[in-house]
Order: sequence, then C-alpha cells, then structure tokens
Amino acid sequence: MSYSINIKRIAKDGELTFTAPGKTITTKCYWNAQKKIPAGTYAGCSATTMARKKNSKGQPREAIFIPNVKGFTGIFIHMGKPPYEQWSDGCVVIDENKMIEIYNAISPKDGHNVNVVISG
Amino acid sequence: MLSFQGDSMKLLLLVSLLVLSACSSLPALEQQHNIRDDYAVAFAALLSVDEQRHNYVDSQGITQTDHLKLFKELERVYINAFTPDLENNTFSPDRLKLAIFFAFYAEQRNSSALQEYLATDLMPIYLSNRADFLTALDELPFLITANCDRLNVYFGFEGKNTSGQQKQRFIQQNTPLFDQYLGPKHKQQCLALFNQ
Repeated sequence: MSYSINIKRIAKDGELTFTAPGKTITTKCYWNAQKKIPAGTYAGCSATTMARKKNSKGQPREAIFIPNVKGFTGIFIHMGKPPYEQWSDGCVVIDENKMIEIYNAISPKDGHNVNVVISG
Repeated sequence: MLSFQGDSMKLLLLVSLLVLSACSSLPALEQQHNIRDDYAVAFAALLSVDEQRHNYVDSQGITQTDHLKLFKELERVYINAFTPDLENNTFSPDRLKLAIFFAFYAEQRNSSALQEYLATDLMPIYLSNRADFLTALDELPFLITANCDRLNVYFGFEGKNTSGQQKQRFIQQNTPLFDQYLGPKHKQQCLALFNQ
C-alpha cells in the first residue's frame, strides 16, 4: 500500500494533506523561510522516528523522512509548536497530534511507501 | 601425584590468568574498532561515497539507494559521539572531536535533522568540556564557524532558552575562556556568530 502527502506552501505557512485509502488528514504546515527546501515530487519517503528528538511523551519523535532533496540532507516532516519556524532548520513542521495520526496510519514503517509532493 | 596435581593447578591458574587478561583487553580493542567504523561512516557521509552499501528495491522493481538507512547509520554514530565516555559527563579528546565534527558535517551537507539535533545537544557538551572543546576548535579552526553557530542557535531553538539575558550571560561568562583557549582571530570568528 502507498500513501501520499501534498504540501502547498503559501507565504509563511501552508497546507499539508495526507491521503491513505479511506483516510484524509489536512493540517497547517510551517518551515524555516531561510532554509526552504525545493518544490518537487519526492518518491520513496518513509514514516519513521528521529532517535535523538523526543515527542511530548518522551518517546522518539514521529516523522516522515524525505530523501533526495537537492541541496539538503536529513529532511523530515515532524512535530513542532508555536513559534513553529523555530522548530525547523529546513524540515517541514506540523502539530504533534496530526503528525502522530499520520505516522500511525502508515504501515509498514521505514517502508519507502510515501510519495511527497511539495509546491509553492 | 600430589606434585603433579600442584603443577596442574599452577598451569590451570596460569592459563586462567592469560585468558582473563586477554578478555579484559577485548572491550578496549572492540571500542577502538567501533570508533574506527564510526570515523568511516562519518567521512563516507560527508563525501556521499559508498552509499550503495544500503539499498532497496522499489515498487517498480528498481534498486534504489536507501537514504533512510544511511541516515540512521549516521544517526547511530552521532548518538555514540554524543555519549560521554569518561566520568562526570566528560569526553575523551577523540570522542569530543567526532562530536564537534558533526556540526561541520551538518553545516556542509545542509543536514536539517542534524542541525536540529545539534541546536540542543552541543551546548551541554560544551558546558561540561569547555577547555577541551575550545582547545579542539583552536587546533581545528575549520570547525569553529559550524560549532559556534550551533552554540548560538541553542538560544531560541524550539522556543527554549529565549531570554536575551541568558545569551548575554553566556557570552559574558565564556569570553574569558575564549580569550584563554582560542587565538584572537579564532575568538573573534566564534563571537561574531553570537552577534547575528
């Protein structure tokens, strides 16, 4: 099974839509304007965790890994809190509850089974 | 018979001592081996070489480089490097150099995740290893900009340590150490990062 995430960047924030069979999640998303990753289609993304960062429960932070981003490495979609841009050094940031919902909907983890499209 | 038993016991004791002695040096050898593996992983990541060691077959049947596995391998090395190997949260010089190398790696390779890790991880290491940290920067000046930038970003990252007073206090308290351990040029190079 494959999943898709569509990120539409508008000005300082944007809209992220996650789609799985029978499930759609839409939420606001944020990034560091000085480290904006290129728009494009990124295949082979994965739901995973960031071992060195924690979520609010002290567990490894849930995230979506995005490979092959030109000019960048280690790009993820992960949780953040206001002020959101201060949670990013290039990663895309969304609210924690939405991040966990998306993470839980994807199976298997580390599966290269998510397609991420970024525009704007 | 008694003499033979006595000799046997002596021989047994000697063999046991030799085996114990060999075993006791195993962790040191193993640690040395591991840290050499860690150096290789960090250097390969900096240069994007030998990436084919991790791959997977995608849904089209095409073999792709597994960048997630490569990241996780590097993340494991990072976590090792940021784990104190001496008492009182202190680091041996070699481990400290590997830890501060990661700031250079993250800057050069624009690694967002590692930049975010370092924004919170580097300051505690600096605070518990100030003299060795600054000595390493002075010895390896190509590491100064990346590390001082990450020490500066500590103030405000993830909305923490945001008060301007905290940053000013840090600069005030640490400038004498910068004077002591960094040459004048290197000191200016580092302090400039805190004034951005």
